Amino acid sequence: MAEALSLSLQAFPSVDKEKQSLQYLISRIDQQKGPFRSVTEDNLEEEIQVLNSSETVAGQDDTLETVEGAEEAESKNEDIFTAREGILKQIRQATAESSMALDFVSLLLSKQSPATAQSTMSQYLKATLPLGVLGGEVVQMPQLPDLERRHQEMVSIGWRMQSLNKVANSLLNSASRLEEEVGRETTYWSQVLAVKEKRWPLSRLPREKHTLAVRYGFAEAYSDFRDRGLAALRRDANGSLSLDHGFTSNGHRQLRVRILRQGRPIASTMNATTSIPGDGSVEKEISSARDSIFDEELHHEIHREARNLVNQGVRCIDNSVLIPFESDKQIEIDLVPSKDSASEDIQNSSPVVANIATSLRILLSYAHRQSLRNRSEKPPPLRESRARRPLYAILKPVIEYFQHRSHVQSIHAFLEQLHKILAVAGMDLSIETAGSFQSHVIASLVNNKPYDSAVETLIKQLTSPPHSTMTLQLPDGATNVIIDIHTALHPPTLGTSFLVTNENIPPESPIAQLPQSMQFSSFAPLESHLLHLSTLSILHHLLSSFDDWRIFSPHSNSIMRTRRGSRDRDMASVVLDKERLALNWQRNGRFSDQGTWTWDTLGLQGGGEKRSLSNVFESLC
Amino acid sequence: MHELLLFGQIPASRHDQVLNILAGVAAMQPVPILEKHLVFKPNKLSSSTRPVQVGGAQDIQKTQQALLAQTQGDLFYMQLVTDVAETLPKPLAEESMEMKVIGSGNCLPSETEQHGSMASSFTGANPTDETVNSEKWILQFRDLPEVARQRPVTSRLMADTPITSGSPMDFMSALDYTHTSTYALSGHRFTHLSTSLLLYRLLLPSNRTEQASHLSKIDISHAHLLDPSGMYILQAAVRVQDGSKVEAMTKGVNELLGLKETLKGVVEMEPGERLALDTRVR
Repeated sequence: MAEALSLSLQAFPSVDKEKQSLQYLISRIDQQKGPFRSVTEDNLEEEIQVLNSSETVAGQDDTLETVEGAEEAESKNEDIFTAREGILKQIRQATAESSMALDFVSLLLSKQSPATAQSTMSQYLKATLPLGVLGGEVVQMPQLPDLERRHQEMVSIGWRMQSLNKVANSLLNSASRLEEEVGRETTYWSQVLAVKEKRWPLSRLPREKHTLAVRYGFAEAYSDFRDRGLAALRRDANGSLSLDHGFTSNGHRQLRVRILRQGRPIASTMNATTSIPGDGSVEKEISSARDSIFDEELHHEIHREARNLVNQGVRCIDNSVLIPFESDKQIEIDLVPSKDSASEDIQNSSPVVANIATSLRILLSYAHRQSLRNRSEKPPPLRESRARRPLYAILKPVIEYFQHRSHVQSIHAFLEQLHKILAVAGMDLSIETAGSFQSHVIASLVNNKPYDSAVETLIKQLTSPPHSTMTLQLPDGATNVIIDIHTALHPPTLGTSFLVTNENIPPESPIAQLPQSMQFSSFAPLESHLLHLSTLSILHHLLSSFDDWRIFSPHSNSIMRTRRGSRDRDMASVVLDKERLALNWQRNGRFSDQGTWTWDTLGLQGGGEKRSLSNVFESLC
Repeated sequence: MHELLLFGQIPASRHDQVLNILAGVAAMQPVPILEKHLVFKPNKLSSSTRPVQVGGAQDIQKTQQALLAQTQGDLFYMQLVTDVAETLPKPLAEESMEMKVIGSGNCLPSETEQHGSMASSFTGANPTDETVNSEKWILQFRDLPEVARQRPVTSRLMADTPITSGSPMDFMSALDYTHTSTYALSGHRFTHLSTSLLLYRLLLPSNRTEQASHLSKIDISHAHLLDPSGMYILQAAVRVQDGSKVEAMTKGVNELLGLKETLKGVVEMEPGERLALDTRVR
């Protein structure tokens, strides 16, 4: 029983009539147990059981302690609340006790010096009792037996020791608790410092002033994404740093670019395992959160832009954007959770998709840079109508580039074929390609003006409409045909346009009668124009070698000659198309004496007769 | 167009700090500006006091009265402004920008140094009158601010007319305006939403001749401050396309008041003294 006693700083509770009154009891119960609503028979019984099981004296302190013990499972806040209540109660009781003691002494003194005593008396005492009604005299302490006295001393020493032990223990507990806390704080702050050393901007969370946050979003992003680019740095139970993205986060996501053929993916960006720099998990998480928010914004902007590019065959279906690619394929751009990368079954990682993804990201970064530049300009005057957010050009350069590339490739293929056919017929068609994308970039980097940064120059090359030039030298050996290929997705062209310019035309050539430059907006008319030009050039070539022939009529593919002293004439026509070159002749205007000589690339492969056009023509003459 | 304004004053010692804070608020690097202002005064019309003819049709009299009111009404000073910093050769401008990158912990170079570099490049860039004429001049008109009864900010009518070609001086003399004085405005510009923040000091050319001749270069290194204590002025301005549209005006006022709240404790922004901003000819 003795070890359960504790040294109380309180005076011994005196039995007071007032304390038995119902009013006092109610307030006391209210203070001890809280509102009556929470005091049920069950929890009272439980309390009593706890009381009985622990061998405690039902003192006031111990009751409090047991109550606290029972409520240990409850939250910390409630603990603090009860502790506060306890302290307040004790203070109140101490005040009451001391004022009562003061009244008692004052009343006792009021017999000797009433004036002094009166000044310290409470109003209540003055009203109820007359002065000097309490007397006192010195009495001899009853002599206790030695044994009894020693017992009492022992008890009091025991009490004191025990209480001191208890105090010491609780201090030690507090010290160890504080030590743990310090350890946790140290880990937390060292991790925060590590984040800061990696140059992540730290700031206060706008809504919670006492919470640190790291900003990983982009300042120039659209406000939805800019505001989301902030995560609270919270301390978890063992002191390590954890990121809190709030409610807006729904897992990290990543932009996926795939090439589909007939709806089936044949290449994807997702199988490349991207390793994010930074060893610490928090840094990694911040980096991936940044990547995620960037890709989400990119996806959002691509979607906005794609809706305005329907005329280019771009389609938005659900979350994905589909762009036509190389006649039978499609590029699909969508946003997928980052963790799905493992489930992707395509193993083929084409450099095309990776390059598309990189270009899209570079273009968004560039758009951010442009938006900072625009924002820093003098602001326009306020108007009633709100200015619309401009569309970024992210898809446009990519589509332009692919469209341009495919057109250049098909022209090149066509010209190569033509070259082969003419080579079989013993004529030369030289093709020179200038202004490929790479050569442009290198040239611009070499001619870089001193104050343009290399990045800006590169980006300008990427965003400005692509342009290529091809120069043909026609079979007559003199005429040059220059084909300028421009691709721009804005009006008026809304696609690729071809400008064909003829140069160095000999005045006697039939080409001289054609307009010097012609513009085409699609491939088929360009093809037939080039074929026509080549045909005319072949005719010119023949005419220059055989003097007695002349052209049948302007713009026609036929030549003729009239033999001296004869009314009949010989006719020859050159027919050039994508597959073959044919020479039709008709001698003396007779249908019986006519024929066709054909050159095609099959003949080249098969090792057939290899006679040149002029050779054949000469023999026919 | 209308202009809504708030002004604040900063001692020179706090300039760098305020520049840093403003860079943070506006989330952009400060743009250095150096403007040359030429003040023009209208010549009074001597024939405007012609007595009104008695008789005739009432209409004629009315129009004549209106004309008379116009000619006898207030006349305003006007200014020709050109941004000298913009005409700097670009590499130099960028170099000076780099020197003043805020927020990286680098100290700003001292004010005189900045001005020195600007002035030297300025004089180097514009040695002849031709180049002076190729500067982009803006004709500025500012009305007397409205009586500040309804709005907690200064609001006034304004017009900025860019002069795209021709000689601005000839134009002004054709308008019957004479050049009276020259000053320069040197400082930094920020943009925060639709507010244009200007942290500047006014400089006067050092000698009389420079002050009188409008086309001569202002040698900033020798110019002296208008306010010898070196105080800087922070001007927050919102331009509103149509001052009669209440909604746009309220939006502008609210934006300025929001900025005032943000800058509380940094710079106390107040509406300007109406009569101090008077542009009428007395």
